[in-house]
Amino acid sequence: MIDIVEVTVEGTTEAGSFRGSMSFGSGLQVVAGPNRYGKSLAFAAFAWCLGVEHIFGVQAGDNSIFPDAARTRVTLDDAEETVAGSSAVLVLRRHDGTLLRLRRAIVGDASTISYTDDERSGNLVVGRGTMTDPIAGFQATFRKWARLPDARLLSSRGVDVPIYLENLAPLFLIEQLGGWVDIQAEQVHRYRTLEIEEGAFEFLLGLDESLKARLRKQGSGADAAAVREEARNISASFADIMTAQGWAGELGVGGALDAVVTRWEKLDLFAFVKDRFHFDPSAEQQRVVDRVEKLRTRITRGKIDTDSTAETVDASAQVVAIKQRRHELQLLLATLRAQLREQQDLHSTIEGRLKSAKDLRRLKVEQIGILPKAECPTCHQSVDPAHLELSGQSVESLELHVSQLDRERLMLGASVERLRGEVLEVATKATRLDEDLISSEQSLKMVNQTVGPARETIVKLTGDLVAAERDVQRTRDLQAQLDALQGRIAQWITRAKVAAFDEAPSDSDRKTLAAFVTQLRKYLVDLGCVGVSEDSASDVNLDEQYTPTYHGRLLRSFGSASDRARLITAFVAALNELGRHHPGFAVLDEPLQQNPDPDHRKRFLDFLGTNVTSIKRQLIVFTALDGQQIEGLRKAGVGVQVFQGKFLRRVVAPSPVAADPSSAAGIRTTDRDPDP
Amino acid sequence: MSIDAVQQLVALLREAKAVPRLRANAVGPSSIYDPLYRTVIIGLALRLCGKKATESEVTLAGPRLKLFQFVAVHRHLLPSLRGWVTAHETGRRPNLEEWTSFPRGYVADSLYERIVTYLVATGELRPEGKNLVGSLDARCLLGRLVVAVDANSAFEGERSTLIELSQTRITLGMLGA
Repeated sequence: MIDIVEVTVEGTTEAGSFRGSMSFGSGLQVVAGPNRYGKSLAFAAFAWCLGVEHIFGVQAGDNSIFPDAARTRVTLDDAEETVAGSSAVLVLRRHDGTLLRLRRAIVGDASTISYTDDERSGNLVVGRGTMTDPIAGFQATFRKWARLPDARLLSSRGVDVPIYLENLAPLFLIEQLGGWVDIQAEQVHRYRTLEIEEGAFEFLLGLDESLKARLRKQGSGADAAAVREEARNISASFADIMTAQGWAGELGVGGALDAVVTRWEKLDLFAFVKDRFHFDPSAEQQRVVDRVEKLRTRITRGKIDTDSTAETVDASAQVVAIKQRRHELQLLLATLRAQLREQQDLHSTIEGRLKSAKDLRRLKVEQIGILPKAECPTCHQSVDPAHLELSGQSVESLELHVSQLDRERLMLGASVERLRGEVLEVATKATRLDEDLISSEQSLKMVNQTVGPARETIVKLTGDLVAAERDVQRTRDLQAQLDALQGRIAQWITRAKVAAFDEAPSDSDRKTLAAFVTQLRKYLVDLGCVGVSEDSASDVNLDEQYTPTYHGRLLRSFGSASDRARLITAFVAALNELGRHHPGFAVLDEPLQQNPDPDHRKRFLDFLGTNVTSIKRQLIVFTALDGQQIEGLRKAGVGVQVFQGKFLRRVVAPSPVAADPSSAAGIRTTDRDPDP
Repeated sequence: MSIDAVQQLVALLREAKAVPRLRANAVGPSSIYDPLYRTVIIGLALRLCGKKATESEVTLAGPRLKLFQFVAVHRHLLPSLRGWVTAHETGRRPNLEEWTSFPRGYVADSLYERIVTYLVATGELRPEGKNLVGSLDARCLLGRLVVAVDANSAFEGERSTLIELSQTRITLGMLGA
């Protein structure tokens, strides 16, 4: 963990140098000062020296985040001076005592940060290469020093990108304007990192497994849309197979993806075909193979009756039977097609009526076109539509009619689909029968052309064998197609599970998250956010995006505008306390400006007083307080630094007093001395 | 559902001693009998099938108006109407009132008559011989309705039917007028 030890802004003018500096101890501390004294200037210096000025919505190196005093003209002893050069310095201390000094020009070359720790010293680049260059990149070096791990997420371009420091900063540097709008309101989206809000939270809290799982899920390319498209393709392939058999069937792909996965996990295509179409491919295969074997045996080893004419009669009867069956099927097909046409027409009529009824309802709801009572232009008598039995229907009556038509439309739609399936089935059967007829007629022709009963028998049996082998091949093809499709479904399920189901968080992540929620609840109660009490705190939870919810709704949608600041304070403070990869400090700039009424200001200060001992990590609050409030906080044990004058002051001459940064900046530290 | 299935269903219902019950409160009258709807269709028929009479008025023969608004409301009759027109063109002359595929509702369409009576009484329509003349000015009821329907893109099916009818040659003689 890291503490901010000191922040300094210094510069030169033609009339001499100026400087402002303040030091910080560990734990909770408040920096109090009137507006325009330089609190936000100091805050900007934190962001600037860490190279995360992006959170202000500016480009890297844009010094406009600083007030004019640090950039252009500074007022020193009531005289306005032009700034010739300026820079910010941030001193950080790691938990093992190692110090790091970061210096970055405000006016001047801001493309590098001067970096000095126990081991190395030099200028490191910010901007391009800050993370990828392990030697000269600032963020790469800083992370190593701060012992923060690397983490990556996928961007919308499909490449994995690092989670940058500026992606994490919105959760520990809360700037006074945009920072209080929402949790991570100043998140940086310009790298198009997907799910960066969730990723940044997981990183800081240390939900390592969840973060890795997120990247895996992103990287698998199994986005829900693509998976759903594949499901539709599988369903279409299945429908094609069914159509070829003369069956109408499809695999439902409607509903939530996880529901489809659950349904398809139980799906056995062979069982489906057996159940729906009473066709068992294995049994059918066995049957036709047995028949083929029997025919072969008869041809090769069976006894041939040289006097029998049965085969000729048989072949002829077969043709007649097929023709009879074909005729029946064609009649049925004609009837079904006529029914289908009628049902389709009726369906289309109902759809048209439904649309008209809805249009009419809309006119009535909007009170357009009420038939008025009028006066006859010739006899000047009142013409009431009711006298002509022209009473209009009410909106309620039309509602009833619309729902009735809708029901009819659905019923007819289902009926049309069913008829379509039947037509398809019968048409395919008729086509099969045509093929059988051709084959049987050929067989009959050959039998008729053959001389002698023995030859007739052999020719007939051979014809039957060819037909039976064709059936074997058909059944084999169907089995192979169903097998292949079952394999595709299995692959799809594996892929869809990644898209549909989030990996369950590890025990460690679950515990860490639970601890965070407990801490968040406590802070929300202490701050009085949206009236969350100890009794109702258990109703505060986090949704999938780690956004706090209350009674199942987003917590930010409750309460008044000032509750947003209390929510953000609780969230940031809880994360600061428990984050495993958190830098270990958080800075809140002007939270009380978001709490204008005295009761809420008191509640906020009470929160600080109540938690002064339990807040172990550095939490710095910049705010404006009156004397009574400062006294109250001090009595509660909160360290308060008070601006005695403006932050930036003229450097008169080197002296032991001036060398003390607190004195130089006009800061008086009370109750809790900053660490050296 | 096959006949067998219906018979099975009948048998099952009889066996269960099921008694049919009509829930009148679940049945709403059809919107095609709503006077406002039919007035809108008359306005659309005038605009889409009528001829310009004056700067703001259009005119359409009464029998044509009656037929057009009826077919616009019953769009499924359009193919039959086309066949009837073709029959006339080829020399066969079936009488519309004897035409079995045309619903009796057309001949006895009293709602249309009542609406026209109302519109004439209120000055929205003016009879001129066999024609009915109406204004589609936005200050008039029919004009306001047509504008509102256009603005809401409502009754598109009826409009497309009327456009097709406006391009179909149907003489007054064919209508027995």
